[in-house]
Amino acid sequence: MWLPVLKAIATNLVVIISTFGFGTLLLRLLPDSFSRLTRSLCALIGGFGILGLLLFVVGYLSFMRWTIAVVLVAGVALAIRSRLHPFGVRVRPGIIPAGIVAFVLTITALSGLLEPVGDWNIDTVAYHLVGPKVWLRDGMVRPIPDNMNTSYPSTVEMVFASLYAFGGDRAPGLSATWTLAFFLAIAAAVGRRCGLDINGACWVAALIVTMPAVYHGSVGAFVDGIYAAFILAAIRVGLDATERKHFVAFGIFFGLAMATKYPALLALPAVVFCAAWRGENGKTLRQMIPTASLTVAVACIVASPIYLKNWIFLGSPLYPPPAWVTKLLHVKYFPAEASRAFYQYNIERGKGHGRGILHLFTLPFNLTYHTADFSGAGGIGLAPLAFAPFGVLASWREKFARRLALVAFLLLLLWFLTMQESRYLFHFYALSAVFAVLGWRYVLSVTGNRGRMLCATVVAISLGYGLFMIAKPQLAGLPAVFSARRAEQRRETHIPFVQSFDYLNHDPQFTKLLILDRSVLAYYSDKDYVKPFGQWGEQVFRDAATPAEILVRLNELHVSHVLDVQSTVSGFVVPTNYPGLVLEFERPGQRVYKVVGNR
Amino acid sequence: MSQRKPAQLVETMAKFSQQKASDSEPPSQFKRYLPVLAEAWVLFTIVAFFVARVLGSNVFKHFLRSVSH
Repeated sequence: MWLPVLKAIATNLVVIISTFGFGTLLLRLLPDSFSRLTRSLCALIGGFGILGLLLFVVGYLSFMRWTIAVVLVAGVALAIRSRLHPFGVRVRPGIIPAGIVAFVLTITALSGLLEPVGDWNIDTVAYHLVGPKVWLRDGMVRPIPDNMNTSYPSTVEMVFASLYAFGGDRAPGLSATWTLAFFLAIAAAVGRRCGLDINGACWVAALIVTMPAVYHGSVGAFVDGIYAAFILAAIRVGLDATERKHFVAFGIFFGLAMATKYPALLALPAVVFCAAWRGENGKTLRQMIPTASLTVAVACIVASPIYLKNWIFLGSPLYPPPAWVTKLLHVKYFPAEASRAFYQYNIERGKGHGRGILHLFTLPFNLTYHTADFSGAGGIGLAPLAFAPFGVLASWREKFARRLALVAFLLLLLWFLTMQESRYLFHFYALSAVFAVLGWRYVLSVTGNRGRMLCATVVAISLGYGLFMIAKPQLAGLPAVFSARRAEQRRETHIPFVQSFDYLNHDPQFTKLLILDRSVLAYYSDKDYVKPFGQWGEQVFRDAATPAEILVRLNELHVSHVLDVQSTVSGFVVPTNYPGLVLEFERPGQRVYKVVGNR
Repeated sequence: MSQRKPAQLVETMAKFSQQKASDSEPPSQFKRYLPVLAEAWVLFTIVAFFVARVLGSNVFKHFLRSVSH
């Protein structure tokens, strides 16, 4: 039981060191004014992205364990060669905020050691870990036609794959502990740059880590936390950029964000504008255009492998493509109707409370008190709404803080106008926490005892409510880390059709599975599989649109077994006594057939 | 952790305090009412939290229903 845990921990340590090693390549590009801690942090965050991108590019040639090992060893060698040692940096954090952060990171580490489980509503097993598992099995990174989500920008998933390769299925979940720490630390570094002391920076981290909406999108092999860390690192570098090399570093960080999530494509112009607008040396916007163009060019080059891959293999740089693109381009595996339905779903999901001017003015209240309406269950705490306006007011004279406020506002506005999904706003939440702590200090400085009590109440509510919402579900799962019986119960409760997958994965004659139901997760199959119909309407075979049309082609598919289930979207689809199939295993709602001979 | 710029927030607050203490230059109306405004705003967010999250919660609604029956 403890061997998988030790493997996961050891692999995570190696990947962290390798990550730092690749990040040292960026050090020369960072502004000299950066402290040693901020430089180390930028190296770790940038290195994470570089490692992922490198694995992505190498993976298209070969994605065996040895090729991944070579890449990781190269990173470790760079780390050893570096004279900068991030773990030698000493800071004295405030006890209360540091204790809160340590508590949340500890339960994150423990719950990260749990086996990934869930149905098709859980993105971890629906796609984040499907790509790594399939690519490792195939020894090559290629698009997975039945799962269009795996063709999203996948820099972070490539790091998950390296963790999976050597640390098993627990290692990607455990990595949330340090990726979340990166996110908190870069937010704290932005706070320091705005004038906060170490204690204030720690409070920034504590406020962010107790935002349930942020926490739940940053753990469990989700990519949103590290995406926000890329954006914050880009902002941190970009707003202090004065030389060409700084703008190159700015572009690299933004390119890594674009290689992680599509929303970065929208954020790029806004952040570059704010970085170019009134540079540190007082240049006008027109004079800054060449450096801004350099940033955009570098970002596009860095992210290009992801988008070129989609264009070459799937027919569109953005995959799944916007519905109107399907009229212009020949897009593979995703029919136009499915594309339209998918975008309609996203438009519905991302409309929040609306996009009118009144909705914009009420947005701070709705985001604070009704975050769940933006798919951000648990909320973001009270502190940003209560204090951040005063933080902006207090720090308005400081150029960096003023530009930071402008960046935050523009990013919020873009989000408001496009896709109002809480997960895409983590970097804004982090910036709001920075201004919240600035504002908290300011309010304390202008009010008396009553103000002090009110401030303490706000912070207590934010932390208390957030910790309760975070700890409740996480602690409930922890017994399964220490008890094999509880772990087995958890598997049986949370993995759909677990008996069939257990039967198949232990059958030596099982070589390739045909999955006919679109809601069945291929992640749980340890062997190769064919899934003709994907979750979002993906269609792997152009001339076979129904299960019946697939069944007549069984011989061509070279499958050894067929899984037929009764699910929320369909009943059994294999007719009784179907020629060439023998019912080998049956449980309520699930049947496994063995394919026998030529029909 | 060293910073290239000093903590300007602290400067801003110090200037504000100095200005407040100085009789030679009376504070503007906004600054005079800022402490009251800050307290009122913070109190408002707390009350709104209880209205939205506690009184508006399903648990409380269930409690009210059970009491009314």
